Amino acid sequence: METIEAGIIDLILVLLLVLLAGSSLLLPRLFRAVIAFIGFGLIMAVVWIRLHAVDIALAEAMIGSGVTGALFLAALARMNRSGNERESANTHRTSGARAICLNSNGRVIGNGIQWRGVIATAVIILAMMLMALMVFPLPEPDGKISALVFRNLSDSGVSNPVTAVLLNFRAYDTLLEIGVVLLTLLGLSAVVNRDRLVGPRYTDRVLSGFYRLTLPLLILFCAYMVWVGKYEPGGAFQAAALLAAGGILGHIIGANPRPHNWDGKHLRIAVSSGFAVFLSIGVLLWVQNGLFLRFVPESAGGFILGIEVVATIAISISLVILFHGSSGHPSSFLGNRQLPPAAKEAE
Amino acid sequence: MADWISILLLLFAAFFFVGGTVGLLRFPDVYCRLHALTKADNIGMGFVVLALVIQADSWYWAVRLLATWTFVMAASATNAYLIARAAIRKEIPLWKPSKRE
Amino acid sequence: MKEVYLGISAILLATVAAGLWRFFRGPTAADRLMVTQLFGTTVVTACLLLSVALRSTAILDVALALALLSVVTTAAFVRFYWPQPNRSTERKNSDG
Repeated sequence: METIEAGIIDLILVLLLVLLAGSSLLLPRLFRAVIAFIGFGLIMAVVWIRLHAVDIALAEAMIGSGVTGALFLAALARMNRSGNERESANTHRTSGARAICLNSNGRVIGNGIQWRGVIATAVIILAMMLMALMVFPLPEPDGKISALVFRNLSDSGVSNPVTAVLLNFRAYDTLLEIGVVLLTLLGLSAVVNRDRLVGPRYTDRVLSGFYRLTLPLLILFCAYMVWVGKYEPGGAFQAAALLAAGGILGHIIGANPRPHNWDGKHLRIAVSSGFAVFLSIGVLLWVQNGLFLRFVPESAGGFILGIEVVATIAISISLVILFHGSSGHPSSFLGNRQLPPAAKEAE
Repeated sequence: MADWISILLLLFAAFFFVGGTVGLLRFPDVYCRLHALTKADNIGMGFVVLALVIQADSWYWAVRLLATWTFVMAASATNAYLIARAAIRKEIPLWKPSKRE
Repeated sequence: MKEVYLGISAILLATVAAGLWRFFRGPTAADRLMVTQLFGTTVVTACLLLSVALRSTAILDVALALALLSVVTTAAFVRFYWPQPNRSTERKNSDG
């Protein structure tokens, strides 16, 4: 696709990327930095499509526009809120390394020029120059790895090479990635009050209407993503991000089911099931075939599908809990000044 | 023949998109800019979808394109409404044209 | 035909780049959020064009997902960021 129009598209994309990335690192007003970052994610999705990596484009689009945008905005609002409280309450200033400054409107800005941003930019440019020096003398990629993948694709149980690599050839990496999501959740639950998963009912007809219209579609789309990962770009992480975005919208509205009779136990089971099932299947395959996570062609397809379904549910619930934990209980934004007890002690 | 119709429709679409961005840059008020952005961009997208549907190979493509357009319209309408209502509640002033004497 | 699709995509991306001026300039926070909406709709349209140009149905999935999830960002903005508690001087502020 080396036509001149493709060249123009690439040029515009690169300019946009540099502009947006520079804005998100260097702008002193954090809200603008966040919006620039969201835009950066969207443009990256197009870049991935141009690089013929549609699986990654799917993941970037769903996570960048759904989960990350909402997460950053909610966290920024919480920072503004706690900054305002601290200033207006005029209690003892928690001095020391306080990197949050407030400008005259009570908005969070950085301390003048964002030195962190400037240093980060300088480090990135330096690292890129070093990488360029190291990478260019290397010989051309000879396609051996992709030839290897395609030669073994028919034995892997799926026909999408990306899914084959993620969940069969390099399944160990994916197992650890799911473990990392679980670890993040554990770290978060050490800091916040985890039991309040839902928000108050926020009567908003428009959002509720939209939610009712699109939630069935989101669930169907999520199931489709899990299934289609076998043949075409798709997969468990993308599906999880989709479902998580639906859960986040539900949390914002207050439409998530209220856990009257669930306690934390059900949530814990749901969240850890992804890693647990993956690990157990690995051990099962060890017993059957002699090596940890060694798939055999006859049963690989079934196992992979099982892993993907459970991982999707686990990761999506984890992402919704991460969103809730990072944004705090929404009622704290309506004038109810109850910070979670753990955060109060930390101050 | 169908190719020429598609090209014409795509040129209309580009015109509407450019017009929408010009509106975003030039209009004096948050609400006006919201109008320009939402409406012009969605009409532009409609023209693009029409052009692609004419060129489509199968019903599968046509239905998926039309469905995507429908959902983009619904999402844009919701977005615009949410932003406008929040702006009203923040009491962002509406622009009034200055009287010329 | 494929070059026409790519050319129109280039025009769309150029309008996005032009729209960034409003991002740097816009007096209220809503203007900056509208840049997100501009990005969303334009990237969806570009994805539709690219999917037909590259003959890949997966890119249609990207477009559909982007369309549905843009609402989540705006909803988070409207719900969390904009209803800020006012400072004790009771000045309503709307920049950001």
